[in-house]
Amino acid sequence: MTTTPTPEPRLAFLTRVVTKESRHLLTTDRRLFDQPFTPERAAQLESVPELAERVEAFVGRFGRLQDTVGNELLPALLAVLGETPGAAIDNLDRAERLGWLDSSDTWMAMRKLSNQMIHEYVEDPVVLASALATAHEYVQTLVSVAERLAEETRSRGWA
Amino acid sequence: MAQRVVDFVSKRLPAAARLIPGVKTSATSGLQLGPKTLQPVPAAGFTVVRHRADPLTLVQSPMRLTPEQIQGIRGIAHRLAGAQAQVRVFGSRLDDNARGGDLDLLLELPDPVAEPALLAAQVSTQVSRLMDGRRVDVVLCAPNLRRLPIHEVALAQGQPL
Repeated sequence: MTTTPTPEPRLAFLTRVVTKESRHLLTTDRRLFDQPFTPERAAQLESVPELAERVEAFVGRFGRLQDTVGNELLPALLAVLGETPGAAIDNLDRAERLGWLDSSDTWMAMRKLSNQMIHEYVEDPVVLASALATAHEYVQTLVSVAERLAEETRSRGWA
Repeated sequence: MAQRVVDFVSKRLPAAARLIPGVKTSATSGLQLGPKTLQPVPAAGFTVVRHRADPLTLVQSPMRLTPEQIQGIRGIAHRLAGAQAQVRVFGSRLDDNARGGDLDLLLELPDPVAEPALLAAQVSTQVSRLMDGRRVDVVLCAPNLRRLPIHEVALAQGQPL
């Protein structure tokens, strides 16, 4: 017989995960954006493998933190609070109403941005640079949403 | 007068509709009576158009978008990208026999765009919300952006909204 794990250990685990993911994202963010990410830098990605790897680390960590917060921690937290988690956009709207997120539309737009950050198939350096610069500007917001949810979990004694 | 119009359409629609490929021939599938006015109102996906032979004929909207969706998409594009932005639909939505499917939009902008990735992501997100979460991909065409093969396809096949 299998039993569903009680929500608190899962919330505690997800809280630890987003804390680590936030720290890793901030580290890559600092390294990659120590100078502005211009279309000229984007055009160098084919010839400078270290830069390409750094971009990939940033894109991966940005997307992973968004996924863990939006698709894992947020629905788990809503469920423990007695809400029925729904589609991603409904959960984000709920988070916006609860004051955990400033704008669910901006959050969704940042998810959509990931497609435009994959340097192998974005062939216009202007678009790639714009996508990376936009994601960089959103990093602090993303990390603070993660922190807000983690704090919500800790303050109720679940982590 | 309104009742005469309703009687006329109800009687004429099945025969008229059979002449138009892709249009359902049941009068009730595409037309309902408005609750108070007794005016015929089109169901989602249909538009009442004037036709030379038949004064009132139902045809399916191009691109399988309702007039409300078309208006909504135009509004989002103009609000985010400026009133000069032109929107084209391309890809699988042009196939009237397909069902559902992603929505591919081309946004043509007369001026250079400062943050193309952000603009495309914002338009995509807001149109997706309008389309009940359907996946929406947006390609931009602007003087400061590269012209890639996808732009040629979208410009050649795309239907302006």
